[in-house]
Amino acid sequence: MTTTEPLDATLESSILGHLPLEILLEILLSVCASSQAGYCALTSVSKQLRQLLHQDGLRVVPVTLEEISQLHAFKCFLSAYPGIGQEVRYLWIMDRGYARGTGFVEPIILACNRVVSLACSTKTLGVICSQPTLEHVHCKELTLVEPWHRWMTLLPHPHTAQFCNQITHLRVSSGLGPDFNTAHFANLTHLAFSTSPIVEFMERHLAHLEPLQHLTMLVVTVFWWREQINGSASLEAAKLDDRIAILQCEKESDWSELNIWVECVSGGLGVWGRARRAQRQMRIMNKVVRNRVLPRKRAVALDGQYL
Amino acid sequence: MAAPATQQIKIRCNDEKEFTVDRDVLERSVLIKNMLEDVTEQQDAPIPLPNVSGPVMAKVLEYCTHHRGEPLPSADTEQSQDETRKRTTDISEWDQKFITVDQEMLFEIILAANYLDIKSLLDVGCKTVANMIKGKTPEEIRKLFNIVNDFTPEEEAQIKKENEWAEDR
Repeated sequence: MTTTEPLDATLESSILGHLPLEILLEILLSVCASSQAGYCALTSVSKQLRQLLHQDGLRVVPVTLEEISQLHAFKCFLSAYPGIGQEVRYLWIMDRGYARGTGFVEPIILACNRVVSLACSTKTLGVICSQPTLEHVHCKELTLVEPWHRWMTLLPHPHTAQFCNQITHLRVSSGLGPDFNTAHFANLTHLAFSTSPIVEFMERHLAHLEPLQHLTMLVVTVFWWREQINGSASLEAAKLDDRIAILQCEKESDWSELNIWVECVSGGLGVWGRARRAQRQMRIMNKVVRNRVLPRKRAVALDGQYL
Repeated sequence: MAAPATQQIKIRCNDEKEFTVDRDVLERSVLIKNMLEDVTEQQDAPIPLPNVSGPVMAKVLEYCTHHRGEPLPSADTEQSQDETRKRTTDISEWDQKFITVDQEMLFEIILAANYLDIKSLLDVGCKTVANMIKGKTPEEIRKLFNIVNDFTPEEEAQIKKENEWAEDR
């Protein structure tokens, strides 16, 4: 049960002021968790809402920075409120195109040293791992979004092994690459990457992934523009290892790495939830095919539904 | 064989309105469930609910009747969930239809769910208010909930500038 605490005068005239503070916070934080625009709108409504949410609200916001103007504005925001970067828990920061070389990314990533879920480039990861001491010790989920991950470039940094060792969920938007060092990711429980063709790749690489002893979910994402998977390919892949889930990333479902990351950190399905759902469907389909309990026409329909 | 008769419980709201309800429906409320468990002998006197009015209780009972028999969230499952990861604002179709009420009734339902300790109904109410806020500008939020803007124009301009990182592109 919640406690009833009085709110100050500015909210008294509002219907929101009738709610106990804990319930009001639950509502407001759920808005903040859905988008950074929601957080900024709420902190601009009144002084009291700003006081309530300015720092604590930031802890649930999926902060996404891609454009130069966004990076610059967020850097200024952090400078205006020293220490506020430590409230950021979910950070998507990209230094693509024109943003490269502006020098905005480094101060932001260093200020946000309590992130638990980080999406960035290998280069940005290098900034974290090359500091005199590793400060990003709470980061458990890592998303690397770039066409090719240069794992080798991370190796010379003093804290690469320590940082990677704390990661439990790793999403790599491209393929894994031959230099992916499993020894660094000893605590990995969830791994997602893209590949095509699936079965051939998995056959070759499952042995390579064997040292990842805590791995419970292996998600292979297949993009619509590269390949359309069919049910039999999924079943074949599942036979190789029951931890495998195949996720077809459809154009129609508005798939983007950013959308899926925000969905995940906002409490939605995300890549892991979607993969679990696909895995369940694949197991049902597998059972149906194995037991041959349905007439052929119905099995085909089920196959189509899964795809 | 006939099914065992369900025990009927009487409740009385703050406007003297009385309801006679099946025990399992009422036990969606942890408050009432605990009260009933504390009473060892059968009592005919209605349970007084001084914080809930008749019309609001009627809505609450509509919800409880629809969801009767569903498992109640246990304290363990609540604690094990990561606080920051359960803030989705999805609401089932029936709940959405049920909670389509005017703003005053919505807030009364939230307060009643909190008082009666009906976690799932409280969640539906909170999610509905959150969904009402989402996508709105500060001015629209003020208007929606009658909130006084106590920022000076200079402060407003400063905050707008500070928030540029979050502007939709």
